[in-house]
Amino acid sequence: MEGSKTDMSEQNENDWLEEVLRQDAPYIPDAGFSARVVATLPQTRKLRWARLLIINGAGVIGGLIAWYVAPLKGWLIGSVTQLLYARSLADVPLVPVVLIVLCLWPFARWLRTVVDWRSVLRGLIGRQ
Amino acid sequence: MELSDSDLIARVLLKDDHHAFGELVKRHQSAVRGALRKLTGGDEVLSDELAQETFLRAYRSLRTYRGAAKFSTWLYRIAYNVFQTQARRVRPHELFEEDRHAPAQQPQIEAVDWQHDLESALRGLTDHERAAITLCYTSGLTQEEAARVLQCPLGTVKTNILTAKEKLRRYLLPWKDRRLT
Repeated sequence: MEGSKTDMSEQNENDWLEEVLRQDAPYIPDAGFSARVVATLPQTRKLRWARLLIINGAGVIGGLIAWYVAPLKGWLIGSVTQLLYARSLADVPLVPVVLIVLCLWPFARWLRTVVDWRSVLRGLIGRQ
Repeated sequence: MELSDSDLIARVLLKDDHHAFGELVKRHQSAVRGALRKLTGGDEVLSDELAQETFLRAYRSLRTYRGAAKFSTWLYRIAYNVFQTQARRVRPHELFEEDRHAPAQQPQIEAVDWQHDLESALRGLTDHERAAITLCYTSGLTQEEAARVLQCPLGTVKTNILTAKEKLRRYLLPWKDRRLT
């Protein structure tokens, strides 16, 4: 009997606490909050594409100019040929490898932003 | 006709519609900011910064939202992760130290504002206890949903709620009769 009285009073205290905790959720007025959030959102995809086009276009034009002007053209062609026909790791020239990685790195990063690889992987795993 | 959350999300994903995302923010800002205010012990400036970061992260990872849980539950999960990152940077005891163990039975308690006292009481809880109480009572999530948000077993959430309620009951006891009348 005594035990159940204690349980009841504990229950009442819990009810009281739960009630005040639930009441304590007043609505917070927006007061420009959502406008601030929207202002910090990344630029729209159209602009992103334009930026990408300008940067890559400038890169290609710059590369072509450098290709015609650079005195190392012959050396670069030789290195890439050596890389293609390398039979062992010892034959691999380091400089063209570094150059290729440097050229592909921004492309790989860009690809990561436009393709949701996790869902692609999930889809592939799900199919199997 | 008011668009549903799913419609707005679809608009953001398909058309990159910032206005649609703004509408989502308007709908959920109060709940997210309210929960973060509780988690940060009533720090309005910090909680608003964290809420802004929450919505920004939500926008960036909107593609990963599969609709398995409610959008608000998904937002709470991001908010809690943002809060945890912040808490790791600045340990909570550094934020809350000044009145973490302020005695609840002081005579001047009658003059202290209820809100201030509740915030002090919440500061006395651990991060996990505070999060569990906030999500289940202030945000109205079920314990299962809270477990998903906090990424911990349901049993842990239940234990945290029990411990938190015990601490809060002790701390807020002087307010019992005043709040009920």
